[in-house]
Amino acid sequence: MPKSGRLPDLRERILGQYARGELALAEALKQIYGEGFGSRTSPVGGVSEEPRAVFPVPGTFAARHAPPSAAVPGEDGADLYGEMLQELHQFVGLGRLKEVIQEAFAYAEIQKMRQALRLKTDAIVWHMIFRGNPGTGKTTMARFLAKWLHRFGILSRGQLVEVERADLVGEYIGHTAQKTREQVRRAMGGVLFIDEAYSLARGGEKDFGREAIDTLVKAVEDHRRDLVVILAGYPREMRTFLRLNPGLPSRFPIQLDFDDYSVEELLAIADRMAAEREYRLSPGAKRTLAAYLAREAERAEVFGNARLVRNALEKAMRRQARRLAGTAGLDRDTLMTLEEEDFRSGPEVAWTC
Amino acid sequence: MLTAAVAGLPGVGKTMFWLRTGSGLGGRFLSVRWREPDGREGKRRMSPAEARCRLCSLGRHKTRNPQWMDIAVRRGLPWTKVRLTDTAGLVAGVHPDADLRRGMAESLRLLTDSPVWFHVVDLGRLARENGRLHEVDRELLRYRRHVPHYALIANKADLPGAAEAAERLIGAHPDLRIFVVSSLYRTGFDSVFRWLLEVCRRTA
Repeated sequence: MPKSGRLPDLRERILGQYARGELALAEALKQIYGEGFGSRTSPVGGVSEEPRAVFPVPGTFAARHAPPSAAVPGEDGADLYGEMLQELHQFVGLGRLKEVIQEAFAYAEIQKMRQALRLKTDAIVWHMIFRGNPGTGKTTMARFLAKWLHRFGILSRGQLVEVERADLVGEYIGHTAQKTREQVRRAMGGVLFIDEAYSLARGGEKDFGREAIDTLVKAVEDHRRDLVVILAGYPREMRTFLRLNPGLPSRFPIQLDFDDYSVEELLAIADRMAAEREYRLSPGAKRTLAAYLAREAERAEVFGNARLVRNALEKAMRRQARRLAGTAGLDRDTLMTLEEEDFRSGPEVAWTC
Repeated sequence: MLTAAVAGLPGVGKTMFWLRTGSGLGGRFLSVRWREPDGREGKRRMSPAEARCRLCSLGRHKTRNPQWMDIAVRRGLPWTKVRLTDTAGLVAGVHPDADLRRGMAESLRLLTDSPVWFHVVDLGRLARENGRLHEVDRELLRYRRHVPHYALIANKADLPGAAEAAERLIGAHPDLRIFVVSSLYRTGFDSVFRWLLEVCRRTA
């Protein structure tokens, strides 16, 4: 198996982060090539085939001496803002929330242009509060933000570190601050996503959770330029949490509400999830799934949203496999199509349609 | 030894392309090697038909760890040894399966070590997406300038809409070396072999 070339430690570190899920592909590639590893200045054997462009690496002589321009180029001159919008609008639903995100990025882009033309600029505080039921896309949006804040040059690394109470709160005096600082250190240059943030305050005055909140508040103030902290959780609990901690809302100026998806939006999500797995839903399957989702939305106190769709879809895929197993000469279309009966109840399935 | 890596999204036909290329260059039997997650290496000698049965599937993420075959390319002189590597499919986000992420990281390591990239895209998918490349493909394209020998393999040319998608792809990227192939039906491989042999000849 091929061995690595120059700077093995650096690349191993990046690959290690990638394997642990702290970096997405784009970020890993960017760090590997952006930091000089793996690039080859001349082709092996001198076969020159591809036109090779040279871009100034930030901090280099070429980058420092580039002429002022109001354009905000991407790694290879791409329209970053347009690309970001395109990806943002691929999210199903989330109407108002998309507007807020778009507005914030537009502001950041304009600030960059102003900076390039040596005008006064004002940095945005990107710390956020996400309120929404399970499966409404909070983590996905956090991942999106980590990636794009990095590509816009606002965050230096762009990784997402997901934590919960157990990762922040310690068991003895002094342990909590140490644990919380460790998570903040891991998240530096990226996004620290604290799920069910209200659980930090659930133990009352004597609970160590209080200490975690205080340490976090200090961190969001100290590292506002290279760290984004997102507090996330269910809407009702988050409102209570913020009411009981009046210092928090002013430090987290962007507050986003993730509404439950409508049945139509959930069906669009189901279509997309199925297509990603190379399946499709027959019209009958869509009707059955829509009826099930509508019933669940009405019945459940905390609606599962996209997660519910994913579970339903995965069960239907297993059901389809059972239906088709042993049938000879199956064609591509049959293997790809989930039928109405695949979404109906069965003996081993907990939910019913 | 020249290293060539096959990369792309899951389910675009990387392994099938890898096997077709390997069997086209290497002869009647393929000596496939792989490395287990615990570091142990495995080796198996297979006929192309057996390799196809064992290593390819209709689903995604069949290849969870990189696998490779060493081929002595004997067409013309001097002979060249080529290590043809098949990698795990890459995803844009963070995959929830930790083992798979390790396989992807190992794939990325091999990819960044390889001076030859076969970047495989699925023409059927491209047709469905109105010619828009997936984020992973865009990322790989972005870094092609670091690779001395890069080829875009437009696979699954047999699918409906693939011909139009291939035309659009070639039209949108006139500067790229694009090979339109159907790994399933082994069409379009002559030009791939010619190109790889030329690379071998120059690097020998």
